[in-house]
Amino acid sequence: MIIKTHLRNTTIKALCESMTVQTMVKLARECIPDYNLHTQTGFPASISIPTADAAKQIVEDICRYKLFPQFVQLLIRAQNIGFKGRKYPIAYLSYIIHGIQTHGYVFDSEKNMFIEDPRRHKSSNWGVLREGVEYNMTFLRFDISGNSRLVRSYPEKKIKKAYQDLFSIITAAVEKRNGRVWNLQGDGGLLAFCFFKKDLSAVLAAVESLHELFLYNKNGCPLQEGLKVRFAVHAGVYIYNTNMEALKKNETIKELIEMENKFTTPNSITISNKVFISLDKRIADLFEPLAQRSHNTLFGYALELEL
Amino acid sequence: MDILVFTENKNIGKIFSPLTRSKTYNILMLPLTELRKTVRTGKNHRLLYVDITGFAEKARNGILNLLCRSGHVLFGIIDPKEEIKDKALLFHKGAADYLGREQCREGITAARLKSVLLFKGTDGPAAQAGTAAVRLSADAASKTPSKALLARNWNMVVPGNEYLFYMMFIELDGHHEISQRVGEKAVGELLTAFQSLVELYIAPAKGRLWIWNDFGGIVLFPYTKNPAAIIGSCMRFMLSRRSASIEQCAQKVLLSYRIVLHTGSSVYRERGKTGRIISDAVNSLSHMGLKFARPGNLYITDDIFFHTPRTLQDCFKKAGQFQCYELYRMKLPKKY
Repeated sequence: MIIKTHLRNTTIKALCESMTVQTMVKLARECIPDYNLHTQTGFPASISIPTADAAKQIVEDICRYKLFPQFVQLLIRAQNIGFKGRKYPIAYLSYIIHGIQTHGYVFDSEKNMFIEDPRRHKSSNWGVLREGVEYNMTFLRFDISGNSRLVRSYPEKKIKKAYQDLFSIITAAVEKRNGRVWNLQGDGGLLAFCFFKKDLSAVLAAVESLHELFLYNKNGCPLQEGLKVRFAVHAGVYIYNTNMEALKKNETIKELIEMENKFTTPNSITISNKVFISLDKRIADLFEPLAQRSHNTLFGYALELEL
Repeated sequence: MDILVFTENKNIGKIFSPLTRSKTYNILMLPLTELRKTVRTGKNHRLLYVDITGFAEKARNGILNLLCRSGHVLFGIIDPKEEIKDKALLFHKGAADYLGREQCREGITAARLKSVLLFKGTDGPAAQAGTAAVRLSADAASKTPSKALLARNWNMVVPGNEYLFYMMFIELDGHHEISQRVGEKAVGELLTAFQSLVELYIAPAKGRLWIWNDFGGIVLFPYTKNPAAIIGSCMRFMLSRRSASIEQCAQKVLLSYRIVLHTGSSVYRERGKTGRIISDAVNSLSHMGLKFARPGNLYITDDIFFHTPRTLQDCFKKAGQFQCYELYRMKLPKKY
């Protein structure tokens, strides 16, 4: 993201008017550990750096490292909650926030951070997740049951159409709740949620996908027997990595795969206790205790019509 | 256009085999036991063919009287053994067609059906006529013949004209208790949210809010041969009540609503100018919604049910009769 000059200049002005050079550096080090202002500006270590030069250098470096939204988050926190035990009223903060929103970001009040506006961008890291940093995330995994048999029984064209339709159904349900498709391949996929009531969003996306699949199987599926899909939702810590191989080694993902493989019947959803307890009662009531997996109760929901 | 063939003989289907690939005509084979009900609730632009093979004269006359008395039913007689001696009498009584031994052997063509429709003064389906709207010979809803147009899109609908629509009654359940339980402002917010929800779910099937009071109203859908998309939208709305309650309503309530889907004709007036509309269909639908429908359920009338793909029909079960309509109720999920 390229930060426009007027927004940079306003941020420089805000820093100059709101804090000392030492505080600016401390804030910068929250984003870039080991940040050295003297090295960056070229001033000898024995000479103090003028406020305007310091602010300008810090804002330029922050923009170069593509950390501007995170830096503004720090400024918001410094004003509202405080930084190192003191609150800093930041000049022009509302103007800066507005400026960053015009750059395609929205503020997530739950996590106190800027994320990309889903109406404008949909990158797999929401524009803010950084490699190697740990995040609390919720994952939704799905798998088409009996894939091999289906592939053998139906022409490729029909299979392709049915799978594409299914992927579209799930992608729509996930993306409208600000989730991201991380992996869609063959007969399944992995979808991630990180913001805005992530557990609830993941479960609602799974429930909607299951219901849509039911309607699709009733009217529109080119396969006579319809598609049967297993869904599982689990939450946990994830160290963000763009490499998909690293994804499979993550403990949360391993547990999710186990939940989906071993405990989920076709056309049903299994969720972990961790996800269940954070749900709104209105949706939690759909789920029933299912199985005990290493001291962790699983809950399930299957769409079955009355007889 | 639907061609309903009432017969107990599977071979009769062969007569209509030249039309099986037709996009204009939809052939439906039905048992003779369905005839009385279909005639009684016959509300659509369709042509009935009745196989009278093997009936004693008395029974045959009974069938003919049933068809003739209805006044608005287009019907033809299938008589492969030519048991009827005075064929002209059939036409005197109002029949539109007669298929004797030779016609049964050779099969029926689209050209013949077109002639039948022209003979009875209808223009045939829109696809065939190539016109935007087709004037129907009989009103779907009222028992008295009238002139209803058929519009497949909203841009064809002109206020002041009478059209055949799919009509949906929807109302929030328990609204009296809600009004007593929460404040006026909260009720207002809830109703606004509910209205938005209805609009959201009817949009994919081109539905339009038409008559709306505080807690519900009537939605219109342009007429289509296959109501699967409309029924799908209603079913989706029913299935989504929990997620819709969470995501669309600020109040912590679990919404419950009832829906009745029906076909019928009415003069179209824009929303807000519907006060003086007199329509049997709207009246019947409102009665079904208010007096018959149970909270939290979706109903469709038999006329829609018979046009519904079989896979979707499986999701409904008979719910009983109201006035002269047979209603089918959506089977609800066990966890709802």
